[in-house]
Amino acid sequence: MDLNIIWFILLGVLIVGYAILDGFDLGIGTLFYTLGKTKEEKKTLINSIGPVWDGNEVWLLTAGGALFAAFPFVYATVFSGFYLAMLLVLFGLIFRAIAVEYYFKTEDDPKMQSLMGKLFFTGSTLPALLFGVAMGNIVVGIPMDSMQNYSGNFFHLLNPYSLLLGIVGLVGFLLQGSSYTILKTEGVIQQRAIRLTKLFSILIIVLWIVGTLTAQIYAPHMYTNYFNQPVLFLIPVATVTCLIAIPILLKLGHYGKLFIATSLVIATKIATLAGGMFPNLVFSSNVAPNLTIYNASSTELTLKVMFIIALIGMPLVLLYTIYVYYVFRGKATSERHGY
Amino acid sequence: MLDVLLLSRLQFMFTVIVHYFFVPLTIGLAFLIACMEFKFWKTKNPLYDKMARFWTKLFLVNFGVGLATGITMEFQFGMNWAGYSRFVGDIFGAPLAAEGVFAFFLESTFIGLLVFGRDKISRGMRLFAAIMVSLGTTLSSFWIIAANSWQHTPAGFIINEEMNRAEMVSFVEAVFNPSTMVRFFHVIFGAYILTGFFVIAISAYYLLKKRNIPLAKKSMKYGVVFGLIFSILQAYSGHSHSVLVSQTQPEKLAAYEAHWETEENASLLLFAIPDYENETNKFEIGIPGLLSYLTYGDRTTPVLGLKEFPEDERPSVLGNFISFRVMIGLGLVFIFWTVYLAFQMRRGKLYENHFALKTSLLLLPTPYIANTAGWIVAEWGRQPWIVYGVLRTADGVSQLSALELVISLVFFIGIYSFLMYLMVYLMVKEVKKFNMDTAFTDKKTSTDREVTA
Repeated sequence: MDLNIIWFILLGVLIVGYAILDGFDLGIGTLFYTLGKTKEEKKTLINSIGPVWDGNEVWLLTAGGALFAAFPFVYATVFSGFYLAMLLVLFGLIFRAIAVEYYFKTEDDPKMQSLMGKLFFTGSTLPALLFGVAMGNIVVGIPMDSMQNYSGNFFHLLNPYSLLLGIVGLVGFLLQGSSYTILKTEGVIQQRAIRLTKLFSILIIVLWIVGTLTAQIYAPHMYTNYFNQPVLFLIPVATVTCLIAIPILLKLGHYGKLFIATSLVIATKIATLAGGMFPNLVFSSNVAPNLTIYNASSTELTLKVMFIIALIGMPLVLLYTIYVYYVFRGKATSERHGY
Repeated sequence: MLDVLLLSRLQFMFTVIVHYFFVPLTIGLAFLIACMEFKFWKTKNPLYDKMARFWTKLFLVNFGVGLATGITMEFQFGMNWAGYSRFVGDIFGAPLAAEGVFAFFLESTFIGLLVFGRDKISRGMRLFAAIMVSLGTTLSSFWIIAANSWQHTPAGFIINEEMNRAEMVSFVEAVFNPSTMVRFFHVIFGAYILTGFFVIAISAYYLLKKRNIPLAKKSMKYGVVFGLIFSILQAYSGHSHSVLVSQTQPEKLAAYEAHWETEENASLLLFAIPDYENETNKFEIGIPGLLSYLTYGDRTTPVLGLKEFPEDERPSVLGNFISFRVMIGLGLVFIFWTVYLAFQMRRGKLYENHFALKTSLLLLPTPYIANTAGWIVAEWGRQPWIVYGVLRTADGVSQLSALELVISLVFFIGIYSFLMYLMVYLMVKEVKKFNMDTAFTDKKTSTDREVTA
């Protein structure tokens, strides 16, 4: 295994880490008004992510940094090519950061607080939807010029398959959000979350079937690896297994395991896409060559240095992240914290 | 027709200046809070607990916007500077990723623990969390400054003509390039000075209003000591930085000084109006020999003038000349003012001295201006290069349409204005309503009650 493959995997790990962790933050944001009807309920929802959302979002920043360092040509092409879409993601993330940080601080100003709620909803929904759309475009293939610059426009990005993947991504985050809510709340909110979790798991199965079928039309190249290496089919099988387990775990009341199951749904969905893409990172829809883990990568030395950084840093990160989640175990309340 | 390059530069300048409006206070306050937490851990004096928590409150207001505007910076390299990203990704990306792994995770995870976990963790753990937040913000600035310094004094790389990019040959040389450490300290000191003045101003406000007096007095002490030490250290740091610039980027220094001719006994100009056409100054007032002396330690060594460099490699003179003077002028004000405050404090007269307190409050914006002016000269003085001597800014910009840039710039200005407003509004509100006798006495402060009991 060479360093390029290692970085393909590590980047995948960072993206999966982000999708699992910030996935529930984003999901809760989109479900803010659906799950939280009263003031108290809304506060509980904010408190359920309050201590951890900052750290969760760093997974995205680190994935971005790692993409820049390991595959700069992909970073440059995708970020500049999807300019307006990235801008919307950015504004979403800005709104959300402000909303979560300032929700309690604006408590004595109902107008301002209600604005924070709206920003939380919008700021979560936009990125949750657009991440999938971006992924869809990379999978379908984008037109590039001889300098590897994206040569389409904003509306090219809104093709049917990419929009579908956007919805799949969004529903995946919603599922993650609702299963996290079950874990962190009690009473009415929890009951609502249980109903939603059932709904989303069914929705995902439907979308998953539609997605698989439409991929044959829009992105047939995604099947090549799977037919060459049938063992890869174990990944989507794992997704289906987890989806089937969801109603059972709900019935048994094993909410911790339920959260693991929904996290695995997200992880295996991303792995399914990665399995079809390897060793490509961005498919080209015209004569330009695909961007692959070899032609778009940094030099071996940089990949090696980065690998060492990851080897030293990531275990530490995991260690204290787990510790912090351990400290904040248990149910969230609507109480304002001392600061 | 609007120029994409100009718009991209404007957007980067705008977003980075707004971002840096929040960063220095985060760096400095995190350190100060860790000091207060340490005092609380050691003395168990509840006053330190209240102080730490009060300043953490303000830290949080600031941190939220700092984080939100920080994401923009990372995204923008790819979005607006794709040519640059392709050219330098092999070198520039690694420190950014290291910043994520070694710094962002640390500060973001432990700030959650510090703020929300107060009643769930021990005092020792709280101190540890505060130290980790401070370490995180400091490491974060180190990696960013390392990456940014590489743009000024690139090292540890070769150019691969075929791939049209810079390739790393030594990570250590790239990270510890000639200007990294000098600039790192300069930035950190700048952040500490700003924090000192911030703490002084808010303490002064309470002293003037005769509210929260014990907290204000003790905080004032921290602010003055902090401000004094780092204002003085900054003078030394700033000087060694200028000397370094004269060696590594001589045309930059020449632009700062509006210095056209290479000459011995070069004057340090206090005032000048540059005349670009005739490559001289229309009018100038200066101190003969001082520029030579400051740069080389003697008056006879000639200082390179702008005329030595091709016209298309010269940075803008007027803007740099003015910003440089604003920065240094304010630096001198900081030294003068903190020395004055320290004397007043030693004589026990500071807390009743209305002139000192009022002026301190009025001086609050000045370190923000000085920090911004410092970044303006650093980055504007680097132009027309995006990587000094290696890649021109014009070759780094993304192929976007002017329309896309107008859209993004308008939205950035709108959203960022809202952020600034929100931040100032919340800051003022928190400061105004804070009452140290009633704050932090909710039932969850069992650890504190143990201590006061």
